[in-house]
This record gives sequence, structure tokens and C-alpha cells, in this order.
Amino acid sequence: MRRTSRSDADFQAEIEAHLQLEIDALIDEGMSPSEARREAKRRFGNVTGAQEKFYEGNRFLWLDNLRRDVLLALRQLWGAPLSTLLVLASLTLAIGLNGAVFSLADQTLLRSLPIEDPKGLVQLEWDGQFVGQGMGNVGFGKLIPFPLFRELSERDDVFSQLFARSTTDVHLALDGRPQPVVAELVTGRYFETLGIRPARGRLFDTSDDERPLGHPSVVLSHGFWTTATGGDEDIVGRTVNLNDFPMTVVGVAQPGFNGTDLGTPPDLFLPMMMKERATPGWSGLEAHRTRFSQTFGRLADGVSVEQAEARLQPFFKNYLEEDTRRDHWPQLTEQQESAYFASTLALQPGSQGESRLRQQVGRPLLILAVTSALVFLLACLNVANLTMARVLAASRATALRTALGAPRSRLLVQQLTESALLAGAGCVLGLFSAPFVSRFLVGFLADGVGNTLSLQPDVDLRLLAFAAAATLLTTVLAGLAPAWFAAGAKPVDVLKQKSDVGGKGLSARRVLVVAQVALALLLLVGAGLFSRTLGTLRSEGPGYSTENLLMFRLAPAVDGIEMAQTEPLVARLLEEIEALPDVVAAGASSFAMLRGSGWNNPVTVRGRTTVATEDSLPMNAVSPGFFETLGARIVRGRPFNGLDDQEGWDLRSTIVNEEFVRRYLEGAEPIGARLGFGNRPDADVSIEIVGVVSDFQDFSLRDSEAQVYFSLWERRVGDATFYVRASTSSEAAMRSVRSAIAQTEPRLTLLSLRTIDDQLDRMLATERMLATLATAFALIATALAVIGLFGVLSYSAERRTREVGIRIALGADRWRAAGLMVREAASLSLYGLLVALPLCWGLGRLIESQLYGVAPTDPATLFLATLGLLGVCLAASLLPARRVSRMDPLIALRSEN
Amino acid sequence: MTPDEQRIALLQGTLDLLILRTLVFGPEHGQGIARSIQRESDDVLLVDHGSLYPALQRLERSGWITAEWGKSSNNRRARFYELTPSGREQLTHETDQWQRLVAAMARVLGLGRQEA
Repeated sequence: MRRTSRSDADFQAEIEAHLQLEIDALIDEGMSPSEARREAKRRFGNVTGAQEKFYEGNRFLWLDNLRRDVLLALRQLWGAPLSTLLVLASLTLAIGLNGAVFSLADQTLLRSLPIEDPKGLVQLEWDGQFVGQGMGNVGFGKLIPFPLFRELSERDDVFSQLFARSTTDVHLALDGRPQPVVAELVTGRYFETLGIRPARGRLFDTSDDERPLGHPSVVLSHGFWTTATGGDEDIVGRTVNLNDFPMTVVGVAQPGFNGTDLGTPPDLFLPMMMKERATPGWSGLEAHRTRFSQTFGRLADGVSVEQAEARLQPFFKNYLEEDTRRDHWPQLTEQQESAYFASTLALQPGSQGESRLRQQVGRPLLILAVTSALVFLLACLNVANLTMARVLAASRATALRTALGAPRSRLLVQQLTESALLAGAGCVLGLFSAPFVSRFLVGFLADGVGNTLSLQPDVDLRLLAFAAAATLLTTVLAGLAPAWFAAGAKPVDVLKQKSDVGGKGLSARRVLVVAQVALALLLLVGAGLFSRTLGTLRSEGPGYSTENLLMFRLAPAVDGIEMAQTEPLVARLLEEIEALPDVVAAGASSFAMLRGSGWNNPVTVRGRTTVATEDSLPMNAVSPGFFETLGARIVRGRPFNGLDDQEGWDLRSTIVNEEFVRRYLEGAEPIGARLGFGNRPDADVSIEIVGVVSDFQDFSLRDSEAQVYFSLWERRVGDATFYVRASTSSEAAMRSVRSAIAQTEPRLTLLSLRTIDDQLDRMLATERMLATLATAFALIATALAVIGLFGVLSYSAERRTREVGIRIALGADRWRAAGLMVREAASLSLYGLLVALPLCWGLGRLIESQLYGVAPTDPATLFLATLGLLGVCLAASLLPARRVSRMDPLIALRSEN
Repeated sequence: MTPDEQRIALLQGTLDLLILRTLVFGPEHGQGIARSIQRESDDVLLVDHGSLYPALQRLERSGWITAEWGKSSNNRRARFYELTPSGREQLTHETDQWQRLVAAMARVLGLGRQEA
């Protein structure tokens, strides 16, 4: 704002002089002095206002203009309600979607744990060949054998703090019935290392780390304390039953802290020393070759990651050597041995903790992020196109205003105001819609990953700011481009149609339409691929009838039943359930089916030749009635024996599926062949194949796996998943199953009772989400592209009226004239398709891992999507074409267009 | 006096032209300019006296007019505005533009009437 050298007193004097002069004049004209004074003031308008204008110089003018611009913009937007509505809807959708997706991606993939100095946290990784097995439900994410952790925590030259942790499901009784909850097993320095403070009572320290089974203490998570006890202030010191064992609540952890695994937030924390209580019958604290825990720590002062890794290696070499001298060290092939000795201890950033969730939802979220970015881009293109259309339509009015003396900058500002209003409204609506979209998405994800997911349906403000800025930029650019053409042209030329503002704008709009068609095709192809994936998985199913088939889980050991008693209990339950009137058959397996995870191991098979499998094969231990319950057939050999015929807990017999026979027995007779665990030369190949079962999907829906089954009775049974085929409805069977279990053993907690169809739905949640959203996006994209195309064609039809009129007047066929419009539509869509097809190939690689039964470049899908899009694009050209063909040549010739 | 609904609110930019035009006949104060515009246009053009001053301010800053305190015809103190040489040039330029516009408008509007 420039400052003027005049004083405000001087200005005030001028105004007073003006009023006085006006009063004089009015009195001369015959008014009374008081009337004249009133009238002079009225004519002057607001005296103070004028003074304000003087003080504030240009600013007041600017504000005044802005108000007028906003009103004008509102009137113009109101005047084109359809286009305004479309722009708003697409912006709202795109911004809301991007906000939601980015927030979820941020939470799962980017955000650090809510702990002290997350950057300083490192996680240990056994980088190389581990000899042994992984256990427990922390997945296989960087497990470190617990004794190795112990040895490491005795050194102080590398780490200042170190802890180990693991998660497991336990049953907790606060007052009455036990409930399944998630427990995080932690060593003494866990809370100290993470910098977590107690909300109530105390947290664990090294004094809780002394004797196995010697520390019956529980720390509740803040969330669990709030929801399960209602924030009970007297919780500290209370005795609770954990897996039917009394323990004392010593404290509540800091609010907002959910452990180190995003996918399984714990309800409570237990000292690692209580491991055997948490996983009855198995401690593992001394096991060198069974890993179940992760190790995190902080480096000692002044030690860099490289230095730390270097200092760890001699010690680790030593550990590797020592382990080969311990009992039960297996014989290895030379290759396996050199891989084992090449292992190193690596340090990974620990700021985000470690979670399987990241791998599970990482790819789908990335796909969603890319898709929603495409939708956003499309929305921006659409906004640009519609804005241009509006501006071009108004170009003569603009020229008129320029001619009437409006400065060009004012016209540009007017255009910007309109764009900014649209963008602003879109952003605000997007902001409000984002939480709903986010909740919807979390619903999908939570279904697939488990109900304990700690994802928040938040909206990320940084992203909203970004989206708002991007939208504003787009609309402003789109608003400016035509204004630029218009402002550059001489007003008189525009009025006389000498300057082709519309032409320049039209070619810009054509480019936008080509881009829109290209994006729509990409999204259509994606939708086709995801829908076919879901359809194939659904129709193929698990390979058996899922009608009236239900499942549930029991964990007798966790419910406090003696290990010696669990096996007979499971057998008795199976009998009781099978005897129910509305049950046809019942079976049990030690691992739940269709969860994409479970028991697996490499095996060595000895038929005619000996084959050691490179990969781990999925395995399960099942009751004799399991196959019959599902409807699978024993195609060769015999089923498993009943419990009464079994003795001891050595696996002696196995049933493999047909796929296994095809893959590993090479035509040899399967019955009587033997297999053993592990692929090392000294593998104990002593388990006899007694039968072959028809193929069905056990592990996951996607791959047909070579599957190995053992007898449930030849293993310790701590817990089991039951499968029940009902004769009536699933609901009725659920009720009778529930009461049968309660009568047989009231201590049992019934877990995850549901139908197999329900489980399949959960299993396919990610696929459903991708298919549903991709289809929705594709439809929106197609609609937006078609609207863009229609707009351009109508405009072009209008501009060509005179040309077509001449052609018709000269005797051209009306249909050929109409064909011009169709041809324009076809060429625009073809350009779009040409741009999109190579991109399809590129994006196909991104989604490849999420597809099933269809290649990312599937010709049928590409063909159908292309054909469909071309179809609607041509349909969009029919209306303008009709208008052209019906035109009266005389009117057309006279028209100014 | 012309009834209000038949008066035309001044368009942005035209007020500047009208002020410059008024000052061609010699120095004048704000109230005189307002009255003169109204009178010359047979009371068709509506000048909000208050809005005159930002325009005068603007023109003064552009160097097209200068101002000085003086005495009015009835001997009152008033601030008189006078056209500068560059203001005169500007007036010629804008008048020329305006006439071209009016001619163009006439053609456009005239053609339009024929067509209907």
C-alpha cells in the first residue's frame, strides 16, 4: 500500500469544503438549510466511509472489489448449477478420499510409535540363514532367539538399553467370565527404553525380570483399562485371573501407547518371565532354535549404527559356532552350513516398531493411494475443463467489460475469485467427508486384519492442506488460461470474432479431455481386474461346500485345563457336538483354516527318490472326522485313527493332498512313502503317508498348495478350531453348539464362532475393498470424462455451425455433417486410449500381487474396458451430432458463430 | 431530476474518464466535478460524491491531475484539481478507445436487431 503525503486533516478539510459547497448550491436551488445539509450528506454517501477510503487507500478499494467479485462469482456459479455441482462433487470426493487414504497410509506405513525419541530406537535382525523355527503370533518379523537377547543385554559396549517382546492371546477374568485378550510379553527394560510412564501404579522394571514364573504382575494398557474396567481407580493391587492363574495388576500404562506392533495392540503387558503361564506348556526362554520374540534397543552413547554392527559381529560369530555344539544340532548340507555362518546381526530402524500389518495392507493402501491420486487428478482436470468452458462462454462478455474500461487485472481477479470459491468450497466439503470415507476404509481393512486394529479414522491435515493447495492451483490455472487468452486479445477483435480466443481455449480443452479419457480407462481396467479377481476367488471358493458350515475356536489350555486333560476334552466335545440333532458332522484342526497363516515347515519326502522341499509346506493337524465334515474325500489309503488307538505324542502317520502327490512323489505309490520335518540331510524321515485326500484350500484361497496333514491325536492339543456341518440353519446350530459346550466344560471360552462364509468374507476383505472402490472410482472417472467430452463437443459443434451450414447449403449430406461430431469424439477418445494403454502396462506391475486368476495385461479386460469407454464416448457425441444434422442452413449462415 | 431507476451506475473505469473530461474546461473542485458530470449527462449518470474522492486520489497518484487549495466562486476554501499534460494525453487515448468501443457496440447491437 502506497502512502500519500497528504495529511488526513487536509483530506477532512476537503470533504467539509465539498459538503459546504453542496449545501450552498442546494440552498441556492431553494432548499432550507437543514434540508440542504441532510441532502448534501446523502449525496456524498458515507462521510466517514470516504475518510476511511482515504486512510486505507487501495486496501478499501480492494476489499470492496473483492466483495463485488465474490457476489459476481456466486451469481455465475449459481447460474450454471450443473457444472458447479459436478465440480464440487468431484472435488469433495477426491479430497475426502485422498485425505482418508493418506491418513491410513501415514498411520500404517509412515508414522513413528508414540514413544520417546523414536528415531533412536533400533531393532535387531538375524540377517541370513536361521537354523530352527519361528513360533507364536508375532509372525516372522525379525525374530531373535531369547537366549541370544539375554547374552546381548549383558553387554554395555553396544547398547545402552535393550528389550525383547512377543505377543500372545490369553484369557483374562477381571470379575466373572474369562475374556480373550491380547497380552504383550515384555522384558524388564521395555517401558524404560520406550520412555513410557505409568498412568496409574507402576510399570515393569528389571526387578520383574528375575525368575521364570516368579512375577505374577500385570500392567494394563490405558485403552483396555478405560473400556474394560471403566477407568476403575482402585485397579492397582487388584487380583485378576489370567489363564486361570491369579495375578496382580500393578499399574496402567501411558495413554495412547499401544505397544510396538501396530497390528496387534495389547490389552495388557506381562513380564516375559511369565511366558509359560501365557503360553501354557511351553516356555521357550531357553530355546536357541525356536524364535518367538523381537529385540529392540537403544545404542550406547556415541556409538553409530555401523560401529554397533561391527562390534556385534565377532560376538555373533562366536554365538553361531557355539550353537552348533549344542544338543540337537541338525546335520546341514554344505550350502545350508555356509549360509548359516554367513549370517550377521543387522540393526534396523525401530522407530515404527514392527508389524505384519505393514506388509499386509501396505500394497493395497499403495494401490488405493495411487487410485485416489488419479481420481484427484481427474477431478482437477474436470474442474479445469469446466472452468475453461465457463470462461470461454463468457469471453465476449469479458471483452465487452474490457472495452468499457475495466482493467485487465480486475478481470483476472474476478476469474480467480470464482475459481478460488469453487476450490475452497470443495476443500471444506472434502474436509467434512474425509472422516466418513476413512471410517469406511478402516472398516474394510479391520475386517481383513482383525478387530483389534489400532488404526484411527483420522484425517491428515497436512494432506488436506496439500489437496487444498493443489485444487486451488488447478482452478486458478484453469481460470487464468482462458482469461490470459482473452486478456491478450484486443477486445474489439474478440467482439468482431477476429481473435480466436475460443479456438485456443478449445484446443486446450481437447488436451484435457484426452487426459480424462486416459485416466478413466486406467481406472476402468483396474476395476475390471480387481472385480475379476474377487469373482474368481468367490466362485472357486475353498473347494468344498460352505453351506451350513460353521467354525469356532477353543483354547482349553489357556482356560486353565490341565494339558493331560485337553486332548480327551476335545475328543469328547467332538462326540457331543456330532450327537446334536441339527449337526451332520464335526471335526477339529489345530490351526484355523483360511487365515493366510499357520503352521508350515520344509519337509523331506522319501518315495522312490528323496526330495527335500526348498519352501515351507503348509501343515495342519486334524481329527479323523475333519475331512468328512468339509466334504473332502480320502481318495487313497485310510483316514486317521481315533483317539483310543493312539499312544504318546509322536507323529507317526500323515495324509497328504493330491497336489502333494503330483509335486513330490513323481508318480510313485504315495501310500507307504515317508516324510520328515526339515530339508537337512539328517532329517528324520519316519512319518508314514497313510492316505491321500482330495484337494481343497486350507491355508489361503489363492494358491493350490501341497498340503500335509497330521493326526490331531498325535500332537499335544492346547487349542483347536472346530468345524461343524449343520443339517438345519447355521444360526440354530450355533445355539445348540454353544449350549453343548457350556454343559460339557463351563470353564471354556468360546472364540470366533462364525460361519465359513463369514470367514471367507473376512479373508477376502482386501479384495472386496479393492474391487468395490476401484469400480466406484472407475464409474466416477468415466462419468467425469464423458461430461468433459460432451462439453467440448457441444462447444465445438456451436463453433462449427457456419462451416457445417455452408456444407449443407452446398448439398452435403446431413448425416456426413453429423458424422463430423462423431469423428471428433472418436479421435479424442482414441488419443486418450493410446495414452492410457502403455500406462496400463506400467500400473499393472503395481497391482500384480493383488490379482488372482487374471494377468494385469489381461486382453479380455483391456478389450472390454476400451470398448465400453469408446461406447460411452461415442454416445456422448450423439446429442451434438443430432443438433448439427438438424440445423437450418440459412440460420446457420447468418449466425455469428 | 431523473428518477433513480433510469440512472446508470457508473462502471469501473468510466468515472476516471469522466473526471478527466470535466477538467478539460479548467481547474475544478470535487463538488464541482460531481455536479458537472451529473449536469452534462442530463442527470443520467449517477455520481456517488463519496466515491469521487478515491478516483481523484488515484488520478492524482497517476500524475494525470494535480491539486491545490484555492477559493470557490462563492469564496469558500476548496481543493482545486487541474489536468496535467500527461492527463490530457491519457484523456485523448481513452476517449479514442471509448469511441472505438461505442462504434463496435453499435455495429454489434445493430446487427443483432436485424437478425431478430
